[in-house]
Amino acid sequence: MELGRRRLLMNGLFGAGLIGLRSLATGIPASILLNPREALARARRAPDTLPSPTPQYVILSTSGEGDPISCNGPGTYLDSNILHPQQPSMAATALTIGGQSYTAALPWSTLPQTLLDRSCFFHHGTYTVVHSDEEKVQQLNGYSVDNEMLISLLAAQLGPALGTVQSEPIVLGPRNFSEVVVYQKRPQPIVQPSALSLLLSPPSGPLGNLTALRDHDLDRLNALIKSEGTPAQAAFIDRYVQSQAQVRSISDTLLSTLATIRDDGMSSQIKAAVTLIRMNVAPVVSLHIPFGGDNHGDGGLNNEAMQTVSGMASINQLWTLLNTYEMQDRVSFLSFNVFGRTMNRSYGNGRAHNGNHHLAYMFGSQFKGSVIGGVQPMSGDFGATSINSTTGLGVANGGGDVAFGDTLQSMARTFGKGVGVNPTILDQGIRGGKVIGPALTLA
Amino acid sequence: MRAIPALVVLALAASACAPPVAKSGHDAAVPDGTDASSAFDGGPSDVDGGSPDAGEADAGPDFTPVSVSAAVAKVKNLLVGLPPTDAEVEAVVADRAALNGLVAQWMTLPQYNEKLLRFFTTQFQQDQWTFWDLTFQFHGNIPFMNDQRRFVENLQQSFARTALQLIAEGKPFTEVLTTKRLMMTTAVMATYATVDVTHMDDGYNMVDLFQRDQPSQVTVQSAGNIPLQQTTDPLNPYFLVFNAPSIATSYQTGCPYGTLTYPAPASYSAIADLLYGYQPRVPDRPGCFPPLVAAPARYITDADFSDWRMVTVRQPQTAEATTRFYDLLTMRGGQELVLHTPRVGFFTTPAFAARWQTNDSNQHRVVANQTLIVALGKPIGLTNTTQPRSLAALDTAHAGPGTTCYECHQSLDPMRQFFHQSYSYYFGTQDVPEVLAVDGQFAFHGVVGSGSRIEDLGDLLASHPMFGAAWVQKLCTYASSAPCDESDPEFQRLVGVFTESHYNWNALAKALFASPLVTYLQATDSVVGNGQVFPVARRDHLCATLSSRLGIADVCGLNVNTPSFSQVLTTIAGSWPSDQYSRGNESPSLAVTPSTMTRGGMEALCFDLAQKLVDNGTSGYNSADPTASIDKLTGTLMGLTSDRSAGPAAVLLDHYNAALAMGTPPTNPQNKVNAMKSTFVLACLSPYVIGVGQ
Repeated sequence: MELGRRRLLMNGLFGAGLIGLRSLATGIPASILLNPREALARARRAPDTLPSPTPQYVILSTSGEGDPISCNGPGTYLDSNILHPQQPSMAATALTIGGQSYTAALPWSTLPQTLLDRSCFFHHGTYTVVHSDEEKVQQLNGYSVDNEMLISLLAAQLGPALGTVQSEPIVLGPRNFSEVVVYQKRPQPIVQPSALSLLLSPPSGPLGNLTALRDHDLDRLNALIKSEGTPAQAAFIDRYVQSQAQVRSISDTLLSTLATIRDDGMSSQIKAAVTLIRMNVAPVVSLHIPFGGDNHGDGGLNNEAMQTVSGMASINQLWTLLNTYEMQDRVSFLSFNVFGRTMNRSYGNGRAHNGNHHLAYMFGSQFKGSVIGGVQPMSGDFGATSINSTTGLGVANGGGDVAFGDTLQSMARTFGKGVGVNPTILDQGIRGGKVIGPALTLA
Repeated sequence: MRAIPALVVLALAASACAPPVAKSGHDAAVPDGTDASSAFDGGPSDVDGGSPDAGEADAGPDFTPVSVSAAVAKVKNLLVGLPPTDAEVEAVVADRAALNGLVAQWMTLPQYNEKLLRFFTTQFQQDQWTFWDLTFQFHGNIPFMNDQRRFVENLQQSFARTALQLIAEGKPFTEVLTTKRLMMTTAVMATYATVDVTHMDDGYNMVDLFQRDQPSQVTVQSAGNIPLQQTTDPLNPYFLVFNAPSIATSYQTGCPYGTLTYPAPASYSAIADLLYGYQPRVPDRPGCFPPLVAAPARYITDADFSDWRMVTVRQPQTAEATTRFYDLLTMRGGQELVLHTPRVGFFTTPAFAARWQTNDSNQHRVVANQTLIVALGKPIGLTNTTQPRSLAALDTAHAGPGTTCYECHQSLDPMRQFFHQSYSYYFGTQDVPEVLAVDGQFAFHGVVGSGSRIEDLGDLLASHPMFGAAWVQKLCTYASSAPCDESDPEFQRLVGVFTESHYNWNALAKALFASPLVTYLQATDSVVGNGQVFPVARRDHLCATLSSRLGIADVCGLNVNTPSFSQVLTTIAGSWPSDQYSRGNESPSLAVTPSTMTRGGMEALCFDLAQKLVDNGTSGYNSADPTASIDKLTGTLMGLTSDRSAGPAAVLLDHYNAALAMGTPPTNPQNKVNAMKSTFVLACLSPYVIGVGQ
């Protein structure tokens, strides 16, 4: 009796019959149960939404504190009234971007020229000075359809195109709790890098050998619960079953790399982000590279100077890792905060919030070395200019065809196209703004 | 898009405010709060109440009720993490109103207060900060630097424990806004007294009040063992002579040892560093770092972190001395602190100030706004059109009339003045005459008032009509994992229960957890409109469930003083979805759906539990007795009553047998162990454990 049952079970576990039963029981298509990774990718990919031309993984750095990364980049040295840290480590330094000469704080010049040649510095507004609007700004402050976050919009397209285990972004911590990432209305948990290995490693040893059997019987339990529950209870079961399919499709070849991450520091976050992308777990990984924090009381801008240096070291570390693993042409980066900070020399002790100016820093194989837009005096401080979408140059006093009020959406559209999302999807998802061609290598 | 003025710093969310709380149309609320039965008593459910069919409940349009068993299991799980008994489910099947009595019964279990402690810690926004976030309050010299974890936990739990004590004393819940009695340990008392011995002004300039007002010589020596009673007695020859055995011998070339003398007027830090940092500070030798004094030679004991009791904080009478920050003997067992700095309610604790730090640009605005969110459930926003009596405290340089920011700042700036009149930006006592001359102005959704003390703000908040709805919403959101519809008559009934019981917390909790807003046994506007929510068990729920059902206190190791049961669980709990408030948001961020990470994490967690519990001799999960073990898995870990345990038990038994059959070689005695461990993992991975309400 036991032997017969065992044979039947083994046949069922590894044969098409039980897959069919599991599919029937759980409502999950058999194709997913047979090969979750490929099937999930295939199922999500519809011909008319294929990203064009090359889908990229995305690493997003965001700060709800509104770090002063905006204040010392290319384009902020043209007006002598703009305040910069005076420390030698932040000395104004010439650098070449897209064949043009610019001035920026010294740490920016530490980026390799190959990286600068694919770096876009995009001046725009975020239209708020409120910390708690971080979530709204990531939703383009009312300009995304259904208030979808930009990275949610991108991840939903890039996940299927890249065949990632999940389309939801992975949110690495520790981070400010305002920096919540919401994917299709669902807040995503903050994961500590040091826990990733535990969270993703498959079972091992004798109990690991029973995983398939256990998955099968968990499907039975799920089906039982689903059959007795309300539609809402059943919906939970469906998502739970899907999460099992996802976790089973994770490649274990890089788990040993995750296991070497023992802390949650910035370096570990970057290492984790790159590893998760190499494992094809998610299309987007979010983290927070500090660039000076909410520095109202930063007398002498000392903290801004110190963290700009360390922040740039983090970007260099990311670039080095991407090159080491030959991922540099497949991964794009965006730094996109809740707002920029005041830059007027007269302000004095630290910097306050500035919703009129933010400098998004992005790089990737489909971006050109470029500085898009610029800054001009505005409301007692400085704000982003309008933009000439043909040249990418800033046009003071609103003369560009991209008005100040469209700069945020234009940054989002430009980044979206640069990471390979179909412009039609961007049209459907973002109200207003234009793709700024000079930022991209794409037509 | 119009350019907006720069330089404005405030933490506002221009979210829609709640409609006025309408009076309940139901009559079920009981004024004394002792029998706040559901409004649905006597309704359609009672007609069918005697039905033996446990799966039946009350349907409505576009609404499918859950089974009574699932509803009872959900409520008991939310309250105490324990599974329901058959008798409890049968009682509710027989009479839906029985749930009210069961809820009241479950609320008497110790697990209830443990859950409520975490709920209040989050809801009063005393958490989500780390040790170094105290830097500004302590001018960089934070006590207990060498005991950070339990120190931070003490401060984070202090107000939540205060709320629990107020509830236990039968006080109206509004006292969380006005109380000057706070639950403290000796370590917390020492912290309040230490921060009070320094004065920091708005410019972050510090005055050492001990040095200024009690000029004294301090001695730290290793030779004798002076009793603390003598050290703290001004009439004793050993007054302010402290022991530090760690400096008995040379510890660093060129650094003094044996005896350290701090000539008068010594800084308070000469004492505080030793008492609360366990490390003497060497005078005028910043490069010298003596070893830490080891326990038990430390003045602070383990008990000083756990001797919780209510302590009244008051300011000194004329010529009265404040509590001496080094007088541990008086503080131990004492129930009063005399401090320069006023402390009242949840919004003046060091924990709240660490969570919502202000500065000379923010100027208490974030603290004021977060205080509104906690107390009244709404931030300052454009929907607040109530005008303050005076705009004297308006910062026109930041938000003058006609600017975009003015609409909010005209309310916020005068309101933050309540804080600024009492405190500097770094929670020192405010003493600038020009600041003291401008009263705080309260103008929020129909209530206008003014005052010159921080206590006045507490009184205004406590009398605000939005208080009741705000706390019903917080508890409802916690229980149902989504904000509840405040226009729902059932929501309004609960507000009525709370307000008419004079804000009796237990009356609210009893009514809410038995409410169809939580049970989904009957249609409500909220559920019909927004749907039922069946979430993944967030950290506080999951850990409580596992602790209660496995009989292991704090199985996740969330408490500092809990010996680690499992480092795996502690690590996973650290990355598990939890309730989080962000700045300016009136609702917490609630991750509710299973993800790759939660599924993977749950598997690792269940594995670790199986390895530790199966065949450990005490857990009851025994490979030699699979039938009894599976009964226990379904009835305890999965929380299933007998009316719905048969199917899952059969699956578990099948799994055990199949796993046993797969063991090689078949005679290996370890096969049974592995089969039972795998069965445990299967039960642990079931939606009954990882989900809420299944």
